[in-house]
Amino acid sequence: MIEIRDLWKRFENKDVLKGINLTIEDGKTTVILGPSGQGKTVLLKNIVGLIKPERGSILVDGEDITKVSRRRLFELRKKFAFVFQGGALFDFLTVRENIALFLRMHTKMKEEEIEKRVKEALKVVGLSGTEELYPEELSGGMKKRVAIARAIVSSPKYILYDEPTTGLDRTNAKAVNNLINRLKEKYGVTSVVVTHDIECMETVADKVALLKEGKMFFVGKKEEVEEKYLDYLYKLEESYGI
Amino acid sequence: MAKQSFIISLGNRGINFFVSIYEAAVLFVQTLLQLPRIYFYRRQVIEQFYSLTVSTLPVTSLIAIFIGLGSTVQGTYQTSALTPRYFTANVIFKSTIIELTPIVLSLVLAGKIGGSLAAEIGSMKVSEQIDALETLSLDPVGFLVMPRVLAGTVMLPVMTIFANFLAIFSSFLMSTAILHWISPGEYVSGMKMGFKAFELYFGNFIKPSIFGFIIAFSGSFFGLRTKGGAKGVGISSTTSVVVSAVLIVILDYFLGELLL
Repeated sequence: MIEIRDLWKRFENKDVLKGINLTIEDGKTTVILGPSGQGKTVLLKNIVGLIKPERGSILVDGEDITKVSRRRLFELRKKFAFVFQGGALFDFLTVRENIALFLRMHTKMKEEEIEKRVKEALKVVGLSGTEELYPEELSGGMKKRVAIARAIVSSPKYILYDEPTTGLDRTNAKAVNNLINRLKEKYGVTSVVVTHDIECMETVADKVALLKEGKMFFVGKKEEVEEKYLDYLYKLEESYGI
Repeated sequence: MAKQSFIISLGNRGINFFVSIYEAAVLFVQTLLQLPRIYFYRRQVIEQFYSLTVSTLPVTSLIAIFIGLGSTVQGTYQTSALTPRYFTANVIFKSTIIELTPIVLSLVLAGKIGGSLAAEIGSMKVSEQIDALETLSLDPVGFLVMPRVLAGTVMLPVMTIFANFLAIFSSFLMSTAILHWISPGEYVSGMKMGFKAFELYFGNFIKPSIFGFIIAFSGSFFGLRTKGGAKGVGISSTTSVVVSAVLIVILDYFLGELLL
């Protein structure tokens, strides 16, 4: 379980996160929904220790990730996988090498075993046979799915998704949403998804947190959001011209 | 008003300069601290050694040959009527080994390696690949900086030895077989004249390893500081080349002054 308590983050005299409180329950998908520039990605990067907050704590299975040493932080990060908005695949490595990197660096697995795991991960995301391609040869949707394959190969407890459907057409967005659900069902992964995509929220969320101007103004079930904050959802859709 | 804003801008530049020095010192210490993890990052270290050698071999060979030819033409033109021929050969040999090859090669490689290192790491920074390394529990300094700095520091002397060999060989051929201004025996005795082992060590190891460190460290440092998109990558790359070229020229003087 991840518990975020009174989290504050400031960039150049501007408070981006203003006292965030949120509990991310194991085995469930929590969606943080809000327009761009409201601190969603900053929150996600705080959870994995890429950004240090000014104040507050983030307890990962009881351990405050904001206060641990760098060495311990690297150990704790092995529980996580992060799917970046643009995929952030290493452009000097092939798809196979991208996915195998974690296993090669952090395990003593033999190459045959690594190869098997890479193939399995690619099969899960529906991209078998792309092992030898470089990221520049992949489409946007394929990059996202390879990034998910890289995420699941380390069998993480938590997967954090930063705008998983942004920039994808409806078919690819649907495939990614279904993939997020499948990973939860198949591996029991705990997911945190930040998005402005209402369809994504509706498809994957067990729990929804609404973020606006650095504050969480609602945390609850998606049915409640659709009931109580329909206007907010409409405005969000309009702001993106959906 | 204009005077005031000029002073403020000057002050900001001064502060930024000292912040940069501090950040470079921090990165230097972090790089040193990653050295004991060389076995963990062995794949990256081997890759960097290999790619640095392979990517620079053609340009190194070309430069070396023409350094030898150029110094021979200049040496004979300037001094052969005034001094004994073996003395001219001695001047060509020593100036090539101690000064010309290390500095010309380093300046060219500052553009080639330093610029591409800064661009490579810079584009990784702006496309969140550095953050991705962190989330995979890999230290960007250990994974990217340490192998590159180590390869630069170790491989530039190797490339310099190779370049010096080619330069002197091309000078020898030019002098004895094409221009015929000196016999092979005289050329070799000129090379032996006043020979000091330290000079060889200085030109082939001390200077290139320091310059190699500067090139790789500067490329990595400015790459990691990249902000913005493609423009930021371009700025990092150019800054890295300029800073390392200036440092190389300045240090070349001080090293000669201090050690010779």
